Amino acid sequence: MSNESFLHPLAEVFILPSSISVVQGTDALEHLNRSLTTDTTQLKLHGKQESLLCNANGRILDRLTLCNLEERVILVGNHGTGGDTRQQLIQGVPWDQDVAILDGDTAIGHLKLVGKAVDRCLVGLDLDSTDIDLQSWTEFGNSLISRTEVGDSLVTEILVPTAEIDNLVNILIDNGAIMIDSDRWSELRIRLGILDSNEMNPSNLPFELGLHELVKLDKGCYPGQEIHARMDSKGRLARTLVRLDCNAPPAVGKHVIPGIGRVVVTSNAQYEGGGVALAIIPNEAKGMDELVFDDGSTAKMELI
Amino acid sequence: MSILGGDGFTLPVVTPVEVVDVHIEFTDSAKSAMKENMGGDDGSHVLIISAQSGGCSGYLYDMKIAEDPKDSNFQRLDADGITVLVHNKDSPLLNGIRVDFKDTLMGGGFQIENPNADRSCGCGQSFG
Repeated sequence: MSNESFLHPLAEVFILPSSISVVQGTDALEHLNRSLTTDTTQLKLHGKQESLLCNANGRILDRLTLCNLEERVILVGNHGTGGDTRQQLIQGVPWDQDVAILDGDTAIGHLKLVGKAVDRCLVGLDLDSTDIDLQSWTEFGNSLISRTEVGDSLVTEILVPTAEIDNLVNILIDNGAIMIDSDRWSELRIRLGILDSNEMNPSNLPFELGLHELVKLDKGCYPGQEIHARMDSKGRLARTLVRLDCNAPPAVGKHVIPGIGRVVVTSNAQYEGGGVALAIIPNEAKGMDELVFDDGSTAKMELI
Repeated sequence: MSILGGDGFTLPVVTPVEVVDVHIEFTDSAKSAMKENMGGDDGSHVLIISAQSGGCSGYLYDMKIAEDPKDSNFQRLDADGITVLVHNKDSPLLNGIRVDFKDTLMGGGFQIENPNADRSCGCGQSFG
């Protein structure tokens, strides 16, 4: 979505509910490499990597953002999935490897900053904003900061000890940022194309969500690899993710649209002047400009 | 202090494992191949069969010849004079397996049939 008039002139801050785990030990990266869809073995100190944990059917169990802190790797996952992810990772630790997994859900908070001039809100954080990049985490105080490219926009994210969240947020607000609630965050993330557990869950395959970059078929085996490789070699998808722009967003759930088939709306948000939604549609319909729902409402469709 | 130096982290996550007495069937060809691979070290070395996360289906088999770790967490089996060890944590996954050896150029080597597996991948090294 290239028109970014919906973005705040400075920054909007959201405390994103996330699961936090720590994989520690000399074999942490090797252990993760056997389970995740990307090659973690070359992750540098303070390096950042996005990856997926999938089941043997190739479906998504969790999306994980990694931060390598030398024999301790922080995993930032989807909200509500941390317990299952940790159980999944602790099973199958080889008898001769040094790996332990900690639950950090209440220890570390996860902030997202979105806006046209986020850096102006970082003043006073003992941080040179030119150091912040996409491939690594930059340490400031007891916190870590990085950026993610989402479409044409950059989203800044901060990991901060829970006890220090309020202090950090106050500094950001003093610098002109505003705190937003989950409704506004939903609108922003849908408009920007940021996926969460509404999309990245066991109902869906990575390729259907456009997450090709998070699947490295040349890295060796991982749970789901055989399915992903088969999909890749066939080169055909049954379903694809789109963004819907409409006056009133369709309800989350399944809709059957004559001539198109089953459309699954995964997320929606209403804002002043319109609504947006994310939906998974049959791949054959992706060339269409709009969808007409059974109640007669229409939605403009855009591939993500 | 770093981001990991604060409060709120739990002790390492552990999964309780039901330990079972492991029985493994070795075919004659597997025993013969094991003896050959031990290279006469079967007095001091053992064969450790284990399962680890990974592979297409969730778990990978691993077999390695190593010095006896003399660890009470391992179950000890005898296969025609060769000591085979299976860690207690792997016992539910590996109990009942049948180890065979196929001497073929394509797809040869040790093969494991596992009655505990709901699925296995094409290469035969992974199960779930």
